[in-house]
Amino acid sequence: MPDMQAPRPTPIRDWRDALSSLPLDTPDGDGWPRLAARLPIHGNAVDPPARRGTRQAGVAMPRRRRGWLAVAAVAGIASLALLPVLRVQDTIVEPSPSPTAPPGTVESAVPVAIAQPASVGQPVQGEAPPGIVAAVPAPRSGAGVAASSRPGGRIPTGIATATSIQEPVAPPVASAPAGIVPTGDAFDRLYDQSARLEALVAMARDDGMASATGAYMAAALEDRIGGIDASLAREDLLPDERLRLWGDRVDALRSLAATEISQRMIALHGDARGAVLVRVD
Amino acid sequence: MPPRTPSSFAIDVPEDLLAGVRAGRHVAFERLYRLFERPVFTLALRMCGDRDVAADVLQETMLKVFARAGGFNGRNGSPFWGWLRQVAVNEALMRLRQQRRLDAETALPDDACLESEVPLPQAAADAARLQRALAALPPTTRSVLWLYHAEGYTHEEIAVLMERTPSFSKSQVARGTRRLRELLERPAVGHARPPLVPEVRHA
Repeated sequence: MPDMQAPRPTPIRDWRDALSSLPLDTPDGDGWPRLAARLPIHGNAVDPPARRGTRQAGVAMPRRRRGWLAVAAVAGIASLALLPVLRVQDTIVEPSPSPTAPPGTVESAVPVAIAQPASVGQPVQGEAPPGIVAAVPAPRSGAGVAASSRPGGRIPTGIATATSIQEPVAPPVASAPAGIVPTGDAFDRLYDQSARLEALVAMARDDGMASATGAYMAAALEDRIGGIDASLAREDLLPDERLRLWGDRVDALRSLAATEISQRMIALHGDARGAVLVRVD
Repeated sequence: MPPRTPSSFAIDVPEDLLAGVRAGRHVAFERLYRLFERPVFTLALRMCGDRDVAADVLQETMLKVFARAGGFNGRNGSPFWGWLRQVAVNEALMRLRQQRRLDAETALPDDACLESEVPLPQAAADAARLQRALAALPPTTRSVLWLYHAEGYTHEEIAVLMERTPSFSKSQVARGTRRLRELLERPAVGHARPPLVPEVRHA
């Protein structure tokens, strides 16, 4: 709303003074989250030392680095073959601010909730410090992968901040299924999800602790997101196309967040099997 | 003589902030967004006349600024805020063109000579009334008036922006100020005088 109470310090001598001294108006609501969600993944929430290299929007990583990562990934995969197979969970789901998504649309058998960091704007109840609870990613096509409903074991100290373990709730719909009308609300939900996931990625990312496999996967996902951003930049997109692309972006960010989180878990503990999956409101 | 009120865009952006935006740092860009959010929104609102459209113009403007900040080199000492304002003006004009709201009025030569003859009414000091009167103008007239008076663009610059002639700009300013005066000189709502009741004389 306009700031009508602000004093008009300069004398009003002519039309120029009258118009130029009108108070500024303020947009309804905060437009920054919506804008941030449309920015390409670039840099971090804190001023970086060199992270995964600076990138221009929509530009893929240099081929030389991708080639190096591919070689490192092959070596890493060969060494990982000796490690116990990690039990993976299916799609990671965040709590939806407006649980209007119909039940049964979740892609996984047992969705896993990620605690929202307080810095993203979701207050954490009690005095629990913000943190990221273990959420092990799963390939979206891995229908045959068994999803453990209630991983047992200890809560890793220093990481879990949950107060309770809850049954999974109806997750939001990430991609726009057929028949969804590209309304402003639908876009806003995707913008919000995208912004939250980007913040999660920024918090979870730590290049100094990335494995070759994880770095390769993250680079591939970033490239995919860059491609989606390039498509979104087109002005001739139809609304439903734009909605679908935003859904794809959220999906890719979700996978990237899961990858980054799993990398942190592996680096910190070497084994994510014992992590307890919890939800913090 | 007291100084003129500068453009609301006239904000000095620190070099380190600009460097952060050029490097693509979201934290730096958010700071820049907060600095220019209200000036861009207000400019867009004055020109487009709709809050939702103005919010979209703000979004698109800042996206373009983020994408192109690396290309700003401050030639001839031109400030960053001036470049950013130009992006906002272009975006607002493009939106008006898309909505076909830039009507094809032609410059009327007679109007130009009236430009300096429209005195400022006292009601212009009432910001709320002036804003309502401004909102009642046609988009083209309102945009020219705003660019000329509030943002200090010259008639020649406005002519280039709107792909018209300087005479067109002058006529729009003259028409706009005349119309503003008419609107401001109307009694304000709620302050209208009650109709006079004839006095009944008794014998």
